[in-house]
Amino acid sequence: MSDPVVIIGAGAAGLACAAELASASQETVLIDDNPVAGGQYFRQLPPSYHTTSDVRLLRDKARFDGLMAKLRVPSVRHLPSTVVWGAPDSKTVAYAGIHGSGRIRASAIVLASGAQEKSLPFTGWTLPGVISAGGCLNLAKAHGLVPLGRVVIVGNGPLVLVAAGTMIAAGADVTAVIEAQPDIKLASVALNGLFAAPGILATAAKHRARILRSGLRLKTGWMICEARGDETLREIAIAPIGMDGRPVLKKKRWMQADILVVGYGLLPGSETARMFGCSMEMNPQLNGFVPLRDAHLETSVRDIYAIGDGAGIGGVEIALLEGRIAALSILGAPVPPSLARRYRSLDRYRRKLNIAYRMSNSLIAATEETIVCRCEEITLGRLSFDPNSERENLNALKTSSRLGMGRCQGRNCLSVASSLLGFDLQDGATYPRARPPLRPVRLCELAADADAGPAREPDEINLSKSRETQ
Amino acid sequence: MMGREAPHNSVSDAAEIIVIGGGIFGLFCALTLAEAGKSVIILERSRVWSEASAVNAGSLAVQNKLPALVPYALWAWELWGTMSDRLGADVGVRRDGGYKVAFSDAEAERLDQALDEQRALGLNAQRLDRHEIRALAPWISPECVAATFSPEDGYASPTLVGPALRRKVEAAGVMLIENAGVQAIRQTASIRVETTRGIFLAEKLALTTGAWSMKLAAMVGSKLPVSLDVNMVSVTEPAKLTIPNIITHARGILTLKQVANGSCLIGGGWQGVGTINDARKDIDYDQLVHNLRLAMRVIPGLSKLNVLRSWAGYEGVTPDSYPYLGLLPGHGNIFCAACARGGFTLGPLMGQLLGELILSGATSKPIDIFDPGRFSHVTA
Amino acid sequence: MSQPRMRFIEGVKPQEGCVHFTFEGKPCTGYVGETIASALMRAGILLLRRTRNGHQARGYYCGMGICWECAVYIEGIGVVRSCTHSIGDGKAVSFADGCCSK
Repeated sequence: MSDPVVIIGAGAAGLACAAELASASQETVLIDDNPVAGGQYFRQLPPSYHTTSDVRLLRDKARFDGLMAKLRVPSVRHLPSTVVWGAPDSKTVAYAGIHGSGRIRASAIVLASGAQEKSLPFTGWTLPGVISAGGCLNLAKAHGLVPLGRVVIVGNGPLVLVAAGTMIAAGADVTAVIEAQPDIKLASVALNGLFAAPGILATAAKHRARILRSGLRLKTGWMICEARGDETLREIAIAPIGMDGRPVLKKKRWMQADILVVGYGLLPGSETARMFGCSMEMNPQLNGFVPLRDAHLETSVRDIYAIGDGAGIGGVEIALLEGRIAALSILGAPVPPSLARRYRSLDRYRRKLNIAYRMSNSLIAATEETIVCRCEEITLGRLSFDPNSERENLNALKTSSRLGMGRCQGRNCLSVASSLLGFDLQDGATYPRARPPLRPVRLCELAADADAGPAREPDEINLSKSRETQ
Repeated sequence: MMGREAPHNSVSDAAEIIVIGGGIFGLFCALTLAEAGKSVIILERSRVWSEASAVNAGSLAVQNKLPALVPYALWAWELWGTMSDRLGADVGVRRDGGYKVAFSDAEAERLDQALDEQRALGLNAQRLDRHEIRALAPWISPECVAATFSPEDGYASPTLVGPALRRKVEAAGVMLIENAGVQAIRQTASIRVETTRGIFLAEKLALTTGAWSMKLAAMVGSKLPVSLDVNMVSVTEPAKLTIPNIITHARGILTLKQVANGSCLIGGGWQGVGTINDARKDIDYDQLVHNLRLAMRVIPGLSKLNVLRSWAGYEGVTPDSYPYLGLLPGHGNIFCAACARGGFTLGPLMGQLLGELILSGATSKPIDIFDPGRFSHVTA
Repeated sequence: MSQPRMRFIEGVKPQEGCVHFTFEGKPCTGYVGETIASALMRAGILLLRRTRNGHQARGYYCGMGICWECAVYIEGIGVVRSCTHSIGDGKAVSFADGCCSK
């Protein structure tokens, strides 16, 4: 293969894929939006920081260092702070960033851009001081920070325990953990799993133990319903979850909080796969809208592979395996039976876990005044009254209400808006098309594209046979 | 409900006039007819206000029009000036004027030539040299060698116009039938339009089908040359308001405006990818880059803004770039209005003139140069 | 200035050296390689942005560069995500949607 393999995303999956390709000396370009590789799970502190041996930071540095060491070979080129802004065709990647902009023709493209938080809008969720579970973990891992003041953690899913454990280890004053599952032991059993990888088992147990030791208030079957404060968070209200998935407001309880961590699950980030024209499906076992893949992790588009949380929520262990499997598929090398077995077992396990935690899909804390589109400040009420809501046309609703037209490009709001409005988006038919730029890019960086073909100024375009509209 | 029902043999509905095509031309035509007391049905292939009308960059410019179209743009502004009142909603009409820029001596020559012709036809515009531009509009690049400023240029919001116009048209009693693809048009005692949502009868028919007009005209045996442009538009994040006037270009290859929320819309007709049959509206990455480079060259202040999205839309274009408006050649009761370069600007006027023509056989403004039969003598 | 809202985790040691910048005209400091968001939150500033229409207070939210709630405007550079962008010496940083900065 003379053209390189391009991997989009330097998280666990992308790194594992690059490492496997590196061991075969396959030319690889690893493109990542972040200034430092690692994605979310392997998020790193700034290179200029160092840590003492007893640093109270829960992270998995050894494995990350191991992966990065494998990439320090001439065949691997890492482009950090670089965005893949589009797909001119299914074999070409258009990239832009502070280090330069251009196109890369690839022999294979691996989509590894990961997951994003599932939004659960509630009144006050936009206040400074309310952060997502991923945001909380990144506070610690990427910035080396721990909040001062009272931290409350609410949510549904394994990330809640991980966030709590990490915060406690870091020295935060975590006063309460509010888990939506009615029985945390049940949740933990799911976490432990009977066939789980030893790594996950040990981690979950550690976090649980830490939480129980800390003496904080642990509530199950409750959810967040509101946050208040004078321009920054001051207090939050929680309530038991009703039969309809909404908070039972008459049992609402307020508590003080300086930082609220909200974690109601992860969604696969589907934009890159959609941009490349991959066939998609809504899959609850994988927690969302994912590209269809075969056993080699190849999508419906030839030589485009999808791995990691972006292809289905599953966490770090499965992401690492998928990275290797995709690499082996690209290299035309057989997947060792032990790897294939471990993958099948982990894949079964994560699917069970996603189903076990699918409660998040039915939780609703938003009321008419709740902002759903954070960027454009659009409330649920404004959206419900839009004629395009009745027509269940998400793309038309975007145009008429400005939903999804902000800098987040709809990542925070489109999915949750369609679910709150009761749209049936099984086939994603009216979902707005993924169009370039895939992420916001400064105009000068797009203009600096070193590989743009010649200009065909509209001034010189004449009527020609091929353009007739017969 | 979405979905296509099987055509049936019985007639679904009838009206005095059927308008095929629910864009700006069709909606204003229908409104004119309905307000004159006629029964009207609009048949639209997908959703009303979903094609060129909905996805253009919103320019209401006079300077970038061919000289012969200048009077029409000015007449259209008589309608745009009160559009928000008429439609009962703020549709974002702004008329703060615009600069048409030239970046070379050759472009300046074109600018001057056009200016003379346009002024003769009523355009109020002022020719500026380099220094004047620097003084009046320092946000335009110092590389600009010449420009004309006209207070007549402005813009509106297609996004706001659409729903408001739709409500107005419905309130006037027009029946909107969406997701109705026309399969055949037959003429017996009346005109019979067979669609995927049933059969509709009328005494008169108006084709306001934009880029699809060649196809529709062919259904009634008329030859109406229309070629397809796939125009790209891109939008930046909202920014501090520093661009108070719209920008057009001596060679027509750039439009730029900063709208009320601070976003900058960049267009100019750079071509994306698609044909009338494949229905693709894809971005051509190379041409997008060139469009953005030009924008940045003309307004250096754009360079640090984040581009948030881009899209492409279809526009029908005639061989001489003048619209069609009139009776289809060989027909006495089938009319057409379509394909104005600058259809958003001219749409309200064109629609109204078509309505007038259908009502009385005469129009309040001359329409000779828009004769749909003007290319009939040209062989394929 | 407000009370700090964040502190370094025990054992996390930034490199010695002070980087000076301003945020909305107020002088701020941070460490080499530190992100803008980190420096501001340690200084007690959680309000990183005001929305364009309602001037609503916003701050660090997703931490992964997706939500742009932490966006700030850097003179000479443009709007960036403060959760991934390092502080630059001498840079003037302000609200991303500057037209409504107080």
